[in-house]
Amino acid sequence: MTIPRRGTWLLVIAGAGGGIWLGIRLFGWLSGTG
Amino acid sequence: MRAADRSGSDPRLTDAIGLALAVAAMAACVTLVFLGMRAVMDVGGACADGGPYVSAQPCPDGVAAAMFLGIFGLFGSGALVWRYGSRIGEPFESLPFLAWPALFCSLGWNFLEYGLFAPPEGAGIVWSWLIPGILFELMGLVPLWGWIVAMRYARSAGSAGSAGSAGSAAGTVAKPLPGPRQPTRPPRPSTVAAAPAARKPTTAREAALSGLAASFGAAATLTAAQAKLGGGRAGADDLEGGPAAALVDRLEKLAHLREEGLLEDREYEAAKSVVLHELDALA
Repeated sequence: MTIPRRGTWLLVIAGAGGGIWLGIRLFGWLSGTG
Repeated sequence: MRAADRSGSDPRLTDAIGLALAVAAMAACVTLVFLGMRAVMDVGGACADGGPYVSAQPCPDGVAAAMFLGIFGLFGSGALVWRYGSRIGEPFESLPFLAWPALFCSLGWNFLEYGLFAPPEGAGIVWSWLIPGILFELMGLVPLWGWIVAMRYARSAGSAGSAGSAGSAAGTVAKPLPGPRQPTRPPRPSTVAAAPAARKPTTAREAALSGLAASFGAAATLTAAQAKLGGGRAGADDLEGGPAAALVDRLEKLAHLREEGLLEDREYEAAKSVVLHELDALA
């Protein structure tokens, strides 16, 4: 099963955004503030 | 490599999902380092934990773990991004490179913000943070600019290549690629026939060809004279001396020139056919 390259870009951008959110949550958990 | 095969085609869904997850991990690592740095800058820009000494400024909670995870996680997640990106092809293959400008630009922003926009109370502009901020931004933006230029170049090269193949079919001329201009190759000197009278030979190859052509002219003249005097009669005796022997000598010279690389195969075959034609005329 394949996905168009435009869809791949959307996945990558969504992944980057989700990664930033994950990093914020992870740091809050590590520092005990989140 | 699979990237070359799959570049330009639609990627597999599993590869795209793997790439997105790897990019998420990479972004999370950059975020951890970014937030860890801000936490340290909040306590003055330096801290220490552990060891036999009592630290004047202990690190905020979670900073050590965040830095450890962020820095080492960048290497691992970058490798994953490259792995899945290489299965898809450019520009996804080079996405790990973006971790560098992302890291340095974000950390540089911390320096700029704390040194210029939100310095510690009563500190004014903190030059010791402003200068590394500018340096970090340059270290991030200059490679980012290079990456963008490289991607645009690769994209134009790819489209020009496909346009070239399509354009040739349609009878159009493809736009040449940007890049260093190729020197125009001078036309090659023509082979046996044109070398002697055209100009003075300048290379060993041209000199050899010129001499060979002159010999051919002499042999042809002898052949014509003998045909005129003898009525075209030729026998085995002629091969031991005279025009036929001269032509055989030309064949040997041709073979020798080809062995030395002064004649290409195509030129050798052309010249040899001339000699054989002369030999046929003698017979």
